[in-house]
Amino acid sequence: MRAFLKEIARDLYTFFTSITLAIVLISLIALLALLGTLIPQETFTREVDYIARYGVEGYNTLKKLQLTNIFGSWYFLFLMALFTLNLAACTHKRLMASWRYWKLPMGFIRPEDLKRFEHSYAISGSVCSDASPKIREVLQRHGYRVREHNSQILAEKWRWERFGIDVFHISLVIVIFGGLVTMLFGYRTFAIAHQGDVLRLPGADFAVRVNRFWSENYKNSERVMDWRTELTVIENDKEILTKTIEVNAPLRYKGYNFYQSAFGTDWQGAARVTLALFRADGTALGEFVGTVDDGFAVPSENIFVKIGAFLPDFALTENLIAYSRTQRLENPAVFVEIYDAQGFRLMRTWAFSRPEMQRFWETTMARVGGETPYRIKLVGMTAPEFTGLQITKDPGRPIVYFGFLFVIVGLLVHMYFKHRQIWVHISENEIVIAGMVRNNLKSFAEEFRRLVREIERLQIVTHPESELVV
Amino acid sequence: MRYLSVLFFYLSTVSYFVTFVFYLLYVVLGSSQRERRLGETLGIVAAGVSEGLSQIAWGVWATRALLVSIAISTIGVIARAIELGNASQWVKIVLLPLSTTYETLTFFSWLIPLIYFVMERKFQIKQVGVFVTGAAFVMLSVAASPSLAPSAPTGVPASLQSYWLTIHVLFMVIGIAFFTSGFGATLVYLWRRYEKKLFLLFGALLGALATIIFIVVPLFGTLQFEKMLASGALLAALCAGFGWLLLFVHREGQPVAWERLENIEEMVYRCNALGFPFYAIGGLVFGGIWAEQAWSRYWGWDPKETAMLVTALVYAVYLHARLTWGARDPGWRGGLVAWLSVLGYLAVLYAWIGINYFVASLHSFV
Repeated sequence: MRAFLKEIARDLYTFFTSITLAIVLISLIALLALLGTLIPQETFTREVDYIARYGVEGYNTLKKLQLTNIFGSWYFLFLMALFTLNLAACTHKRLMASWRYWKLPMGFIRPEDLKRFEHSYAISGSVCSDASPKIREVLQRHGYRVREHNSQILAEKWRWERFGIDVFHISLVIVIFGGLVTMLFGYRTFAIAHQGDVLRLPGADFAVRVNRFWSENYKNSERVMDWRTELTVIENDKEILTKTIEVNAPLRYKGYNFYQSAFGTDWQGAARVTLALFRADGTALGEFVGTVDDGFAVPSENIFVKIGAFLPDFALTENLIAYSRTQRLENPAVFVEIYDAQGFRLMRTWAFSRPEMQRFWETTMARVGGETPYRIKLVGMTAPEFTGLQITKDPGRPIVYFGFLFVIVGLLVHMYFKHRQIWVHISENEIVIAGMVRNNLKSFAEEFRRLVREIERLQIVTHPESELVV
Repeated sequence: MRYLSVLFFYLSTVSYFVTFVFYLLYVVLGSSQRERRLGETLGIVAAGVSEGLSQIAWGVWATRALLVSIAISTIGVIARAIELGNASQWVKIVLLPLSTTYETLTFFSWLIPLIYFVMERKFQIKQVGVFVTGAAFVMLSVAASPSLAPSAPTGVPASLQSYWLTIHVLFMVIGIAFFTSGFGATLVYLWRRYEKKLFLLFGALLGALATIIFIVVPLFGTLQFEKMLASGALLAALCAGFGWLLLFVHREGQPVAWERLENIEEMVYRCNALGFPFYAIGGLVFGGIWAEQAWSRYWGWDPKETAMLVTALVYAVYLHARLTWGARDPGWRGGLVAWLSVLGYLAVLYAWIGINYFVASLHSFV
């Protein structure tokens, strides 16, 4: 039984350490991610926009296949989990190999073997007695660590670079882990705040007050330069600090972060509208003012007019759900319900400020639902400005940053350093120089040539020909 | 002309076109020149026979013209940086003009040839210059049309007012510039490997891409289950078909002459391997840090982010495939490594330009 389990474990290890598996998984993840760029994802798309784009049926299909949330779908997460396992296993395997490589000492190599190296050079002639220290000095000047073994100089540098790619792979796992920590233990919310609001956060022992917010334009221009919000942190009824946040400059306090994330007019939440009321026969009843989710009474008629919703840019989906296409005041519409004194609803309708929309709506409604007791027109609207704050708590942040740091270090080490080794064999009538670089880096040839030239220039070899002449 | 930079970019457009022509002449006439030189040394052709145009050392002139073009672009980029700084009242130290389509295009037309110039000095494969200068010329031409890329400098929007604009975008741009040189080298490599059969392969690739864009994607977009299934099957069939074609060409082809391929393959690998750290670090790390500062999260599966990830993944596959299968594989695997480099560059183009036409994204300013 134990042998059986061992065999399974070995098979699993072989399976997860294969680079082919890595290539297949990366390709599948890339393919799904590509799909995720083509289909808008629900984290930044409203349901109504999906329906407007794909229709109800299409939207349901997408949802059933989890294509509106690919990156949270079970199949994507499954692939990611497999990939993480694969990455971890490969890292383990590579790390073992790197460790063996690290431990493998540079050893003596016979000169005739050195001559067969790709980077190899021999200087023949009678060699001075002080050749060895001179050559060692040259190599040391080039950053090599030098030792001597059986009259052979063994020099090397950057042996540690072998671990660069391991560091990179481990850091990737760390970054994924940090993201997971944020996802599981973090907290994120979006708050729409008006002047003077005090924001309280669950689990936080402080509150934040919105003092004021404003936007600045570029000089002589309509272009917005920045949006700013002044926040004050209040702890135990004491003001701790005040900071003006702007886009790209959040407030960070006790692990919480406050970002300037939106700015605008709060049409949908707090619009204040002016409505003109008419009886069905055309008698004007006057103009009235009310806010969203509230309304006003018309004493002369003994009715209450409730303002249900305000949409700055009215549109309808295929299945006749009203929504606001944008947050700009393009096609403002207000949803109104009229109740009598007993609380019985007399009618409900949309009222528009664009006359052609109003006409279209009234004629359509008249055809479908018949006469209504009142007619309503939207004649004016205002809304308070708001600042939108993204608030997060991000416990994974240090882990992710740590991972980021070593992603950079690991990748740079792997890409720009390669372990170099030089053997110099000195005998009485010959110096053999041979070099080796990991991954057969081409640019090593240049360094090798330079080294050889410098060693030749030491003039530690006297040529036998010249001796003969003398 | 209201802006000095615009003038210089117009000049460099002309200059890059001239450079492009020089490189083209080098490729077309240079080969006969090389043959003639070979003939002279062998004594077949009498030395000193004038052949007019092909007498000129086009390669040398092309490199000189390239340097002139880069110099003109450099002035343009510097002028643009100052104009942008003035327009945005020096809110933050906005070092690099990289905030609009016009600026990124003109910046690219400076950086891509610059990086190519460095690689050309190292590898001396001037055929790549045709693609690189051609690309620079096309970019500048697009930038010159006001409807596609308005040239007047405007204040930098609030979301871009950060030092990370410079760091993040600079890294991405350097990465893309290396990939562009790498892609140019891949084209030369593929030409040397397949010669006239490359037309067949590229024709098939273009056909497959067109089928994907015009049939597979819309079929999937109908969102009816059967049609989505059919679109998936079609995609698989296309991949299989191209794979089969590749296998066929490799089996029928001449044995590969390594001495013609080795150097250019090395250039492809160097460019991609140098570009990858810039692209991956600039996108994943610096992009992540900036996104956390501006949008409150490192990673949000925003379409542009995701497309960048896809690109980085394709190049990661390229690097791993080259590592495991080796560049010297004479069979289809060695060829596949080169095709992965092509796929990588297609992904670059998608992440850089294509994505802007598909989905609204937080990155919609470039």
